[in-house]
Amino acid sequence: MTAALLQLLPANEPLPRAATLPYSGVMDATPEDSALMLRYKDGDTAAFEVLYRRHNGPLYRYLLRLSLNRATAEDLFQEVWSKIIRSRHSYRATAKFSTFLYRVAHNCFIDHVRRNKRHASNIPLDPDNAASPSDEPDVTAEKALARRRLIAALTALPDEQRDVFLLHEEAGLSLDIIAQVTGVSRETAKSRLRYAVKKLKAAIIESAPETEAAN
Amino acid sequence: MNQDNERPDLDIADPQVSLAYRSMTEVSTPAKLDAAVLDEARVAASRNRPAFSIGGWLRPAAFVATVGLSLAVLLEFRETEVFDSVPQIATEPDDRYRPAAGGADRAEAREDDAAQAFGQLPAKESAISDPKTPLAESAPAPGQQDKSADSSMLPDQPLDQPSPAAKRVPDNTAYDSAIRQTGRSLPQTAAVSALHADAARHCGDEQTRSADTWWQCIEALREADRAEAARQEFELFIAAFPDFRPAQ
Repeated sequence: MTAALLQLLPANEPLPRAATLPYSGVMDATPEDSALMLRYKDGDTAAFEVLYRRHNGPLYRYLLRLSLNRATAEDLFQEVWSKIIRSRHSYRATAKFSTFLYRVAHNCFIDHVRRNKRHASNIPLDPDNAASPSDEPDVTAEKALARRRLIAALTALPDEQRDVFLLHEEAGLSLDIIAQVTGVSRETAKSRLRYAVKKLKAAIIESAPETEAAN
Repeated sequence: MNQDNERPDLDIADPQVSLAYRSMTEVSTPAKLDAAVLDEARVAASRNRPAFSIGGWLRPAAFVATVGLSLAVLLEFRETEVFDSVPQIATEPDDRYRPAAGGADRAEAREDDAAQAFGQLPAKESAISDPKTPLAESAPAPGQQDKSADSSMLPDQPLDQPSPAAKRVPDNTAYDSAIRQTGRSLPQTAAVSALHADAARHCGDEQTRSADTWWQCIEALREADRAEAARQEFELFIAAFPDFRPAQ
C-alpha cells in the first residue's frame, strides 16, 4: 500500500499545495478575505483581484470535479463570481468569505443539475487529465493508472458524497461549515464524507496490487 | 487549510486519500476565464461608483444625528427648572402661632392706661415743691411724655439726682415717672416686686390694705426723699393693684 501511494506522488517534487493539506495551518486569513471584499464593496478592484487569485483555483477544481465537465465547470465558475460581484453591496462580514463563496457555488451547481438533468451523460472519465512533462514514461503510466482509478472512484460517488468530499478536501471546510453550505445536518454531512472516503480508499487499495503487478 | 479545521475529523478523513487526491494533476483556471471575471469586476465597480453616494453618508449622518439629539436632550434637561413644580417652602410665619388678636395690644393698653393714669394723679404742691424730688426731677415735660409703657426706652436716671425742673413737673406725671424709674414695664415691675416680697416694708399693713392709702404712703416716702423705699413699695403696690387708677 505504501508503495502504491509513493507511486502516486511525483518524484523529487514538493508536495503540491502544501498549504492546502487538511491538517495544515490556515491558508487564508478569513478576516483578510472579508476585508478585501469590503474594500471591493467600496470600489477597490485591486482588493477583489487579490481575493480572486486566492480562491479561483480551489473553486475551479471544486466545480470541475463536482460537475465532471470542463465546460460546465467554466460556466458555473463565471456564474459564481458574477453573483459574488453583484452581491458586493449587500455583503456583510457575518460569516467567512469561503463559506459564502462555496455556498454560492454549491447552489449554482444544484441549479445547474435541476436545469440539465442529463449532465451525467457528459461526464468525461478524466476531465483534468494532463500529464506533467517532467514525468518519466513508466511513471506516467503508473501515475495515470492510479489517477484514473481515483478519478473513477470519485466520479462514481453520488453527487452528495462527492460534493462533501470536495468541500472538505478542496475548500478545506469543516463538517459544520459543510453542513451549512449543503443545507444538511452535521451528522448527514459526516456520514456522506465517511462513505466517500471509504470508497476512495478502497479504490486506492485496489490499484496497489495492479501497480505492483505491473512492476 | 482554514480556520474551520480547528478540530480535524480524524475519524473520517483519511491521510492516504487526501494525499492521493492532492497528487492528482494540478488544475488551474484558464487565463481567459480569469480575465473575464476580473473585467466584470472592474466594470461593475466603475459603473456603480457614483460621484455622490448617499449610502456612504448614511452611517456618518446617523452618528451625527445621534450625537446631536443626545446633546439637545442633555441641554434641555439642564435648562429646565426641575424643581419648578416643587412647592415653595413657606417663609412667612405661620399664623397659627401668632398671639391672639389684640392680646398683646390689650396688655400694652393696660400699661399705657396705668402710666397715663399715674401721670394724671393730682400731685400735692408740698410734695413736689422740693426741687430735689427725684421723681419730679426725672419726669419729662407733658408734651414730651412718652405714652409707651416700655420704660426701657427711656433714660434710666438715678433717683437721687435732683432735677432743676422738678418744681414745674405736674403731679399727674408722678405715677408715670415712677413706672419709668423702675426701668421696666408694668409686667416686669410686677415680677420684680415678687422678689421684694420678703424685703423690709416701709408702709404699714394698714396702709397697704387699700390702694389709695398705700399710694399715699408711697407719695409720702417720695416727699421724704426716700426714693428707694418708695420704689420698693411701688413695685409691691403694682403687683397688688395692677389696675389701680389714681384719682384725678
